Amino acid sequence: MTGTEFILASSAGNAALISFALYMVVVFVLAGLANREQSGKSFLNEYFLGSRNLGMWAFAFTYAATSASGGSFMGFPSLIYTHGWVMALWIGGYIIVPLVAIGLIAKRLNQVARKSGSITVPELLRKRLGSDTVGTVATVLLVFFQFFFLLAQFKAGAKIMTTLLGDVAVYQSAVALVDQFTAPIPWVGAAEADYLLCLLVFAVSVVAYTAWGGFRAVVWTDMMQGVIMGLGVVILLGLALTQVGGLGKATEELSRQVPPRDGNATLIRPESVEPMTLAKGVWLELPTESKRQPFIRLTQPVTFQAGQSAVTNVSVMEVRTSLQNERELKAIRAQITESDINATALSVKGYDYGDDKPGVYVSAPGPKDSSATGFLPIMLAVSFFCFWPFAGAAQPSYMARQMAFKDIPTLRHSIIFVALYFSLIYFPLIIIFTCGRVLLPGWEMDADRVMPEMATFLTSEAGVPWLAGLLVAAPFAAVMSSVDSFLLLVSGSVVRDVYHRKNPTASEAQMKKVTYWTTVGVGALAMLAMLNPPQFLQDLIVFGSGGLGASFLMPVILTLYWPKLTPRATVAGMLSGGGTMALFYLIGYLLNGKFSAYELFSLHPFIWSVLVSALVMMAVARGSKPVDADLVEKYFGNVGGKPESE
Amino acid sequence: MKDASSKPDIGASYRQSKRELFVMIGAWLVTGLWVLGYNSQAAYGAETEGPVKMLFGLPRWTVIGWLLPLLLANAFTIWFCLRFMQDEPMEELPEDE
Repeated sequence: MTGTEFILASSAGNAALISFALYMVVVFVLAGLANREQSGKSFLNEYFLGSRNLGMWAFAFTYAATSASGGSFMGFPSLIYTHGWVMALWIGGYIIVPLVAIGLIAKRLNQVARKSGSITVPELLRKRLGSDTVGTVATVLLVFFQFFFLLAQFKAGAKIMTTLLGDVAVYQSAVALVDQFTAPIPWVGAAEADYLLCLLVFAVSVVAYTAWGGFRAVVWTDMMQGVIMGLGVVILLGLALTQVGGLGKATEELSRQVPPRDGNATLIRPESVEPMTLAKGVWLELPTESKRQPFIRLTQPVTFQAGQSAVTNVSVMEVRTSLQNERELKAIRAQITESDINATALSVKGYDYGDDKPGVYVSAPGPKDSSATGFLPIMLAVSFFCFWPFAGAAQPSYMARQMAFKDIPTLRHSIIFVALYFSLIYFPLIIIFTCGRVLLPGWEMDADRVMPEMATFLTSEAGVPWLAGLLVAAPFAAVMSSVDSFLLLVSGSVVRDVYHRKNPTASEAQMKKVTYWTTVGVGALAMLAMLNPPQFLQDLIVFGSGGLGASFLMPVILTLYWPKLTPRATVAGMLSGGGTMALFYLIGYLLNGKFSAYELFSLHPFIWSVLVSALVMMAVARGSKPVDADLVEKYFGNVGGKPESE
Repeated sequence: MKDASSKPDIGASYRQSKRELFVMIGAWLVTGLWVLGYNSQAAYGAETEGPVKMLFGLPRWTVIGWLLPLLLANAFTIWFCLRFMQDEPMEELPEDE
């Protein structure tokens, strides 16, 4: 690192630390204020639903911030970076998400929740259908699938922190200390020390403020986090477009790019008696070809022992840049620090779809390393167009918010706000990270880190490294706002639907104690599970949200809109939907040897799960005992007779 | 729009919510036909067309098959929320059990 680079990195690191510390202080102040609001109010109603009194800004921001999770700011950017403009189609359903995902059930859900006095989704299903079994099955499925979603956010939070604090001296000392203590511990020691430390700090802080402040703290911090996310995206967009030389320039360079190739090589250095270590990420330039300039990037650290001049079988990634791509060539060459190391015996394998195919990043189906049909075959695009709006409608974390707004004008204005907010977040994100392929090439090897890396790179290049703190706070805010909501949802289900039902006479003090400890317990479990996380965040997120959608979409819609629905049909619908989703992932795991979905006829398992759930519910409802007529009257009015006067 | 302070009529509210549900699903269908129908040709054929076709500096298919429907969907959402969706009186908050 040169002197200037070191100063830039240090000031970026210190700025990031200050921004992060300030951010955490504000979060805990808000949690403290929210905790004070709880006094004199019904604990459960206030702690889990903020006394059902959310206004437009609070409801809209908490919905948008919870929705724009670690997936939006970590997983989504990594997919854009890896697959290019096809991600516009992957996320095509978001064009109509605010209207469908909120509008489809929010009004009815809020009304039925108020009428039944429900605080959680399982409780609402139980009371509307008059069946304890329905509530129990819903609780089990909710906790199971929501936990996967929670896991992905923990990984995202820790990953962002490692990048955010990477250059801070105090942090590096702490990492060394953690490494010293944890290295001998089985399983824990297998995790990288920096990740481990960040995971611990992230988990403790988010669990503490969520447990302390409850739903109101979550909503208030969501509002702040929503503003930070919006600002972060706008600033990133401006910096990316300025530095890449305009949108047209970025698209042209992107259209000439081809996917990287993975493999290994032999590294040779001049004779030397000194030992030497090359860090992961070091670039080396290879001899120029006719139309392309090849480079390799180390995907693992390499050590030359004293007197050793060659290391064989070094893991590398080959990037072949078009000679016309001036900006991309400049970006790579600026990072080359080792000019006296040579690479020979290069053995690499290209992507199954897109290898040596210019245009693959600006068209569909997009490049993919492990599939000959590309990243997004058309049937999968159809699946995702169904997935986002409808799986979104069936997320219990959003439903909790839909139970909490105070009136319909709040709902109407919030849908408009969320529609505009999402438009200003998701489309710019695609532009930013397609520019990222040109400005910051070679990050396919650790694609989940591309967002914080881009923030640090863009601000350093612009001469404003202190801004990195704010920009990296955007995805961090997104992750935190999702984690706090999911923690509250899972603890709410356990406390309200399990503990409170078993102990209906429990005092408020007992309920508070159980609530706090449940929140802490769920957070601790998630942290332990994420010590050695899978590579792609988005896989976990899609499984978690897909499982929730498959389990709850049809049961909740029919609970709200179909008077003839029976308890047995609802249980069958939840189990068959969630079970089908889990089965497709199990088949995917058995076929591919990794955590992935089996896509029958290229359709996402969510589609099959919802179809199975709907058909099973219709069939079972015909032959099972109907709901008590009084309950139907209570929630649907006089549906069989003449319409009531308005 | 209804007077939000009047007594809730759950039957009428249910029927209105159902009407709104069908309109929303219709809007989703139309958007899906546009985005997937257009892009099944434009986006999936773009790779074989040679140099990328651009509009406003973006791949052309993303503007016609993504950005334009996004703008129209937002306009529809605003109309739906301000003109079509009905206000309903809200139930009194029940206390905890």
